[in-house]
Amino acid sequence: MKYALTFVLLFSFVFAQDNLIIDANNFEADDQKGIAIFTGNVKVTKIKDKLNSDKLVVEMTTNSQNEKTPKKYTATGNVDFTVYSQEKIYLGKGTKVIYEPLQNKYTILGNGYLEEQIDGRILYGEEIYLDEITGSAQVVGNETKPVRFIMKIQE
Amino acid sequence: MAIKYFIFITFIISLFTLFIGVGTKQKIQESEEKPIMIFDNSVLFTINSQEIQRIVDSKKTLIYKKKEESFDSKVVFKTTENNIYDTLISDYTLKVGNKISFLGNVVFERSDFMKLTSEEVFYDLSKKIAHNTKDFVASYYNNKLTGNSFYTKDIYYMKSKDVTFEIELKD
Repeated sequence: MKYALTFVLLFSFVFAQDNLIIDANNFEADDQKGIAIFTGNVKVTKIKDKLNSDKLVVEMTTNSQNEKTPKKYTATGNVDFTVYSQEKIYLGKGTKVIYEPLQNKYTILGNGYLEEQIDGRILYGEEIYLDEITGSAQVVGNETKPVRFIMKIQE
Repeated sequence: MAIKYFIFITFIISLFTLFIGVGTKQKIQESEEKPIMIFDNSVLFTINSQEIQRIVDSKKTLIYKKKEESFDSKVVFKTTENNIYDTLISDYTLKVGNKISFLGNVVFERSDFMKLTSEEVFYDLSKKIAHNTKDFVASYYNNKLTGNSFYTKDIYYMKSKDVTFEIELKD
């Protein structure tokens, strides 16, 4: 019995699916528009990645198996996130954060902040793009708020 | 002296219980309304001049003057949209006017894209609105949704509170 239970636990652990989980105070879905809206203390968890915001809009699309899957996540209001990519940890903040899962791309808009924790690099800009697969980041500033890059130097 | 008090208290108690008994009896009689019709293991259809509006498949259905009760029932409603039907399965169903209460092990299915289980679902026949106040577990397309106090208006709009929405990640 003990071995059977251990086997079941191991089996479920090995084959456990990694899902994206959204917790929120309120949920609204409009099928005609193809959107799901989450408001109030929104927390998104995808394996180790995390995103917190006041509001999250998920735009859905229909895939080849006729299943509804998300194509775009738009988070607004007190947005912050943590992304693990290529053995690096990114912490981000901004007025609006967009995640496009089909392109594996994060876009931070307005008062953008992106910190790479392992190397200690910090980026500031009005638009910051982060590729989830390669871990590369691109920053765009404007005349009033130019791009700023800070690198922590270890003594 | 003590005997006097005893007789007096016994008299008061007997008088009090006499009136209590009458009140309760009246109440029971009020709730024991007899059904006009009783259907056992039946399938009932509600139709208009054009189409079937509702199908009630139940173990027992009791039809009263102003209400209907069904036990172990499956009710299928036509929605505002063609080819989209609402199906509700429950232990007990009470219909008063245009409002139906589904209680006990309720399963609410909207076509093939939503399946929700809860202990209660309320359905408004005229507005085609379904809602509840308790916790529920649902599958919404291929995603899992848990929460409470759901509300659906027509077939496109849905909202609820304290949700956890689980999206299966595809490789």
